Amino acid sequence: MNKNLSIISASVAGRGHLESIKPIPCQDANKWKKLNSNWSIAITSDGAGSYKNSHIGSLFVVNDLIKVFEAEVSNLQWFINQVTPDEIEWRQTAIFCLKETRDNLYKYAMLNGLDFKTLGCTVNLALFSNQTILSAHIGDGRACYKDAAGEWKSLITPFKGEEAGSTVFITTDWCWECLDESIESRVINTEVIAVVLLSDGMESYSFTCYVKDENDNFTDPNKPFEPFLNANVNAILSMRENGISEKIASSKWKEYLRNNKNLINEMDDKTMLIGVFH
Amino acid sequence: MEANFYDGEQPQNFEQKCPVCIVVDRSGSMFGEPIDNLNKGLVVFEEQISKDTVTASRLDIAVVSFGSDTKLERDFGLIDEAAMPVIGISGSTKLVDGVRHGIKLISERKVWYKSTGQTYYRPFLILITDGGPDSDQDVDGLANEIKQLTNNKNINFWPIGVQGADMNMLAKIAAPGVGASLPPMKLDGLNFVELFKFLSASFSIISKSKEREKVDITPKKESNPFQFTV
Repeated sequence: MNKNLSIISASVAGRGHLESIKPIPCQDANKWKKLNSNWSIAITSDGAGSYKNSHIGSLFVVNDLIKVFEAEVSNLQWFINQVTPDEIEWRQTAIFCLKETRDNLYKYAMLNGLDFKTLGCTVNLALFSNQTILSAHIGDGRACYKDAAGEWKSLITPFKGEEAGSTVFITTDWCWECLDESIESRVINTEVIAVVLLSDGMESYSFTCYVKDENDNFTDPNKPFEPFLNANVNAILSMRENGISEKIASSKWKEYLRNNKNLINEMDDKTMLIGVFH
Repeated sequence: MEANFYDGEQPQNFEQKCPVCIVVDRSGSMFGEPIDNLNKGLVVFEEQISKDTVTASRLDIAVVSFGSDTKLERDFGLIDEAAMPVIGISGSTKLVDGVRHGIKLISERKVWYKSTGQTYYRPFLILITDGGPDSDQDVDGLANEIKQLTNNKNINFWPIGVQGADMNMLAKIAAPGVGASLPPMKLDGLNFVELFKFLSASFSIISKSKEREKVDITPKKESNPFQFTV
């Protein structure tokens, strides 16, 4: 039996953008859609900090990719039959859709006289149901899910360069020349309680992601931070039980990302999307 | 009753390092007020950085000086790991050797970062000088080296001239606009204290930004240590 799904999401500008002498718009974007009674899709995108039009890129990508996926999967048997596709089939679908959005972004750039590269942004997506998560991503950011046993597990491995904050974007040529290295896709076939996507501006609050071991070596455990995630999932469930709509819950979530004492000093833009089955 | 969003402790994550190597001139012409003010500026830098807990946990600072030779005054480390040095005066102006010493130090630090799995911001090399290099110094060679290093995204270079500095020479070795590298900046008088306040404020912003993100470090008019707008 399909459970109810509540999704809240928000993207807010980081303190660095707000305090700049020439204010920089939030370069993060997010969007989600319940495609039918079984499947939903969620996407987050983080515009490259140094590119002046990346806020346009990230907004374009989240909007376009949903349309592209909706058109593509609606004819696929696994989607129609509500079953989990195998990894190869999912990966082919994901790459096809990401490439189409990349090409649409290019056409948009040409039509509007924009340098394509300046629209650079990451992409983090999940097509999911109560029994399946299909993920794909280009670049950094993080994602995780909660299974029926109550355990939080990471869903993606962010792509990070040697220098802090460096990554690849949907506009990066190399990304399309080395698909095996640049685009990660996964199929999770288990009962799902919650799905979370986030930009890297939220990773140090919701993940253990940079620790030193006993030999003074640094590693990224990529481990979801359960107290943060459980508390926020419970808050969402509580709001929904009290009749608060997804829209109002999202605006409360936006306020939280903007003003919570732990998050208010974050210089980077912050995006987090949480989908909870109940 | 409605449950609240999370307000508890954060996960224990370390901070990514932002390496900064300051290369300072201790040649004879810095004797007296210049070197005194430089040393005061270094103290101010330490104080300002220490007040900002995030920057203090990210900024990895080294200090090299040059006169008739070059000297490692402070090896790389966070601000609380060692006091800022007191720079003494010594001899002539082996500027090229000093900058190359800083470049080597940065290169070794990057090897250490990689060997321990640490990510880091692109390193900054800041040169502060009040004169021109000795005649035996290979300025052309250094200019090529810095252009190569900045173009290959190995370092950001900020050359700063104090009164008496050969600004034409600094312009030759600078790589303005490449990454976060700046054109040569001329210090207003001996305003080292304001200079180091500007540096600490700049790195406070830079160390919290995304790599390659364009950040605004323009000093306010009343606290601009330079003779012109940065």
